[in-house]
Amino acid sequence: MENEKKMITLKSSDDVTFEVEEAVVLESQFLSHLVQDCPAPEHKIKEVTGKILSKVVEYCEKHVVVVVDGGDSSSSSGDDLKKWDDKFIKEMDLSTVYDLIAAANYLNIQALLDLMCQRVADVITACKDHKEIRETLGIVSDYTAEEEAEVLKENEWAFD
Amino acid sequence: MASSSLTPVMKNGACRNWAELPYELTLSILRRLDIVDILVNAQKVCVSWRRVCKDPAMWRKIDMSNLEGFGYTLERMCRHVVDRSHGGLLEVDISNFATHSLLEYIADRLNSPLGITSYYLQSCRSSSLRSLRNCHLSMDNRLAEAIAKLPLLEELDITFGTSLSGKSLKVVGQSCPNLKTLKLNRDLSMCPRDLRDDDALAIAETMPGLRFLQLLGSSLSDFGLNAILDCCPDLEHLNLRWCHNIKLAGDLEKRCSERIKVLRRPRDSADDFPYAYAYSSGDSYDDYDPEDFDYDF
Repeated sequence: MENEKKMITLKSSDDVTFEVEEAVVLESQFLSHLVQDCPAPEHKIKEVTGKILSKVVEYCEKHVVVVVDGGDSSSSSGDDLKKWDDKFIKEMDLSTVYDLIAAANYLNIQALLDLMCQRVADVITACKDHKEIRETLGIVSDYTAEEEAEVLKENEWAFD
Repeated sequence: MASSSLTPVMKNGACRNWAELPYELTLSILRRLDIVDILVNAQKVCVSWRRVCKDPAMWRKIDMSNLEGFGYTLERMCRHVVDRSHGGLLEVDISNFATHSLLEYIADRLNSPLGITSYYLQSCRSSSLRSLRNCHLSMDNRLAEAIAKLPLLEELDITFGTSLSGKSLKVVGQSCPNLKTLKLNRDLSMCPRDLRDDDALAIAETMPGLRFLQLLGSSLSDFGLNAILDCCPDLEHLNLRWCHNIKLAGDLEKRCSERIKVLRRPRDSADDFPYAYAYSSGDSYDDYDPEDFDYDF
């Protein structure tokens, strides 16, 4: 009886359903509380789309398996997990990263949030200046001309 | 399926407004950047990012250990971000360009009379004090005075620095009761092969909470080591590499191995010491065999 795994269904904002083991849900603090407080077989997550929820589920399933298996060979499984994480974020466009940051924050999955924030930080680091950062992330400067001039002047000390 | 969604528009993130990401999340991204990327690039991107970059929460940890550049520029940059931290600094790593005046600046900001109560400097690594190696006594006192302003210091690393005198070390120990890690690694090229236990006795007397102690190239003897073992019950890691006065005579060897979880003896490999290269080149002891010096004293 103990081997029988409890399954929970998550439904996205656009009604895509995912059937996952309870252990996977527990990776999210938000969902843990939800499942404990409200023991229904299906939970609708109105704030997350099917596309993003599928990524969240993929991430949590991978991480929960490794933690359970990793009892005696934790270092090698840690390396494998790192490789898996690298591949997971490499294939991802920045819009998905944005949505996953919002989802990981909402669902309270700290490791996923850290992974995604680090990915954006790496993207920013790879840019040569603030203009390239704006271009890469699609940010339009909201400085007035005067403010921009002031901002650019502010750190001249860094170069003298 | 993932690749089919990688349209150019999606790739450059243009369909999401990154400037409108909630403040805390933007902060979580930007605080992962190095200090130069923040000051030179990120804060110029837009108004909301600029506000985040000025938030003291961005400056709890200042790691400038990997930055290259003129010490003068790095120091100005460091002072600038120390100001931004508003006293909330938890960790600072200024290994490559630390000076006494910078350390004093940091210490004074943490103790600013603005009524900020949560400030402390947890980890102050200042390994580049070698540039001040000729300024012995007054610099020792000055350093001790700066450190004395950091009463919550837990880790102090003075690798390649001028060795503090036993007296200054006592001031440090008395001022910093939380000290758990002490790295007092001498520059072997200027390390006299004398026998002195004043550092060891100062440690024993004033730093009972130590867990991690590195004394590479130190001139302490078995006597000083015994005093440290007597007075520092929590000591777990002890590195005595190149301490050529240590003989581990009598039951001292046994006492060390029983008490200390990670013990490096005077002649053990120093592979786990990041600055080992500096000790194995130039005029240091690369050909040094402690047996040669057994009868020097």
